[in-house]
Amino acid sequence: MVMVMVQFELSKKLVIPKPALSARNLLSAGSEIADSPRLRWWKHFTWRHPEWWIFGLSLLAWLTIVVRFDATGVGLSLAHQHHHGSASLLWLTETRGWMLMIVAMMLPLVATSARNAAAMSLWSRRHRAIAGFVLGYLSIWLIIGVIISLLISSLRLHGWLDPRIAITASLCLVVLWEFTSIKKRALLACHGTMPIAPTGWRANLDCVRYGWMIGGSCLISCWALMVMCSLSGHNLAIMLLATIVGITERYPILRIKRIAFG
Amino acid sequence: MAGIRVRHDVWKLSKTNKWEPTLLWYAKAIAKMQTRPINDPTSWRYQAAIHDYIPGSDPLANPADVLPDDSDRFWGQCQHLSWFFLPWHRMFLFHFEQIVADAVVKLGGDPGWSLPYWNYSDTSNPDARKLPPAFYERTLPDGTPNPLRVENRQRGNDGRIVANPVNADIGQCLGEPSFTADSLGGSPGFGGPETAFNHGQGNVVGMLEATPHGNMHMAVGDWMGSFETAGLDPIFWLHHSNIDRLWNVWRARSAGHQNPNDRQWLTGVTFEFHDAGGNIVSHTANQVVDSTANPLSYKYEDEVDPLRGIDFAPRILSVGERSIPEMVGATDKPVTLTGRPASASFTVNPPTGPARTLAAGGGTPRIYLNVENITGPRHHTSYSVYLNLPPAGEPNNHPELLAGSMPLFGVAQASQASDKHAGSGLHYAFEVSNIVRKLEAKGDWDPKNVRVTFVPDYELARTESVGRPQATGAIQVGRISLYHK
Repeated sequence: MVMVMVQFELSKKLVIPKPALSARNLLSAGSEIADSPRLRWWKHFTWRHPEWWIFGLSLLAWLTIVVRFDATGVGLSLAHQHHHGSASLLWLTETRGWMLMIVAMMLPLVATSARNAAAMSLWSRRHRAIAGFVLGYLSIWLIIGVIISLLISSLRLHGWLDPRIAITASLCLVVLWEFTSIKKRALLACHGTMPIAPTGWRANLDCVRYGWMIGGSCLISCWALMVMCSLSGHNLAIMLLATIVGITERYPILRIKRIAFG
Repeated sequence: MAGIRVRHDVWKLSKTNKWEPTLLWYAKAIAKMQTRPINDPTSWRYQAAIHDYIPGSDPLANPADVLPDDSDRFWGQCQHLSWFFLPWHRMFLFHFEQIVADAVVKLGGDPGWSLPYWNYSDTSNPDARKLPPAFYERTLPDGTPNPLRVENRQRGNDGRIVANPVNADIGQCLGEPSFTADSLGGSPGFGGPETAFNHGQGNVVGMLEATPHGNMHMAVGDWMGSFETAGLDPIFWLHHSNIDRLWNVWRARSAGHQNPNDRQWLTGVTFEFHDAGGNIVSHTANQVVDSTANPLSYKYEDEVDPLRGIDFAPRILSVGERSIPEMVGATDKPVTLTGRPASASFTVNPPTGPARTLAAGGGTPRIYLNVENITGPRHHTSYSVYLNLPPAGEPNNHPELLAGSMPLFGVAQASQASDKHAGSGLHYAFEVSNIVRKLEAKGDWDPKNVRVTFVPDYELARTESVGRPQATGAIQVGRISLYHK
């Protein structure tokens, strides 16, 4: 949130029309800071990529995961469970791990949609639009995350979850899911758009709805990957691998070569 | 230039002899291809299915059909709403032409048959917007049924004009300097938006793909009006030959008109087809940028710039062509189109972002009207889009307020979420800078009440011979917006 505030302040200073793009005016005004090439670059970067701060959120989530990751290999959510875990605490821990994982891995995947939400909004509302989109997007993952975390924490509490079997089984599920038409359809729907009202509460609501829409498609597309990561105890290597898979299939334009479709 | 085939203007071929040999052999070759089974890559139906195929919508479906095992790989491949629209269709036409030419030779014709083009935008030809007679004659000269005639065309089989001049307009697209679309809200570009493989998944429609391409699909209608059946109409191939020709014209008319040099466009996606021998061949866009080079080796009879270097509408250039589009106003609820004129109004706010900065720096922002998330069932018409048309105004009396035309080609596919479409619908963007400037100069521009009117083409043409409505359900426009860039 602090980063968002900084961005707002920065934008306010830089979008002032009088001197903004004219180096001569800026110099004559004695504004050496505003004329800094780095700041100008940053201004244009944030104009073109107003969604930049969701990468910041993702980075924070990754840092949290890395810092809290149990180097012995049992993973993030398992670090607290065995010795001092009540059922509700385990559930909470598992849900927190789930949401950290979603913010870290999934938010960057919807950067284009977040940028669309901003581009479809009035300039003054573009960060609000992204915030609404992110809220809607994360809320749908939270609802599912609460349910999945309840299941996983219960299994763990009763010692019914063998990590190796769970990871192997979920990996098989991921591979099978990758080849279904439902997965393919959901993946395409992740690139969808919807109308967003220009002003008022309807504009805010539309952004949240847009987040829901994309979140729903992402959920159908990537649920197996995320369940695998959860069952692995949020194993860092598995999460990184799943992130690479997610990016590659979400943005096929990044591929060097692609033969046809499907 | 030895070995370069020439694609000829079908109307020039037809003027002296409606069954000029190129057309007669085309008809005979199609008849031959139609006898081949659908799983033969050189058959008529297979070629049409490469563009798109929907099992339940095949008008020629037969219980005896055996679909090819690899249909997922080769069918439903047409690239629309994408910067691959032009290169993919060029590849598609080239292999079709080779297959037809091979059939012509096997039937006893001369080698070197080439696909003609239908130049409906030729203002020197009063018949340009009619179908050439060979495409609606009932029989060939020998009395056998004419395979070039498709009975259920919505327009054209009566020998009358099929499209209004706006449908065939090439002034707007040829004047666009950029091949690739801007980011959301700005120019749709001459060739469309940057995408990966894109079978009509909801993006903005490139300018050439919109008009005249989409409009002429709608003008002929029925089979021509949908992805999955368009290739079954023999005029489809001549239509796309002309679209391919216009790519050459656009490239040649200005040194600034450049194809993308992005690796993703040049070599990033490989497309597969079958050659005349039924062998699998593949191409990337960089292999087809020059039609006179191998493997294509063809040119068009006429690639002269019809505008003689002059833009249809003088362009207002921004200080920074790569500046960022800024949304300044939009409708807050959908607009439903039911085949009658419909209007919507919205408020435009003063720009506060890049457009304001641009104006403050002495630049003149370009202004784009966007029509977003257009969804609905299969529909065979185009809507003309007017800006600030008076409520009781007759559209035909206000060509100066015409923002552009909105063909509904592919709307059904783009509206349905499937494994090839996101379901967000079509998106059109029209530059309206000149219209807004003129309205401002006349004092007719009220930012608090910007009015957009949609008029179906058959309403515009009701006093002429062209057009009859074919209502197939309401179309919904998700949002209308205005961007400054």
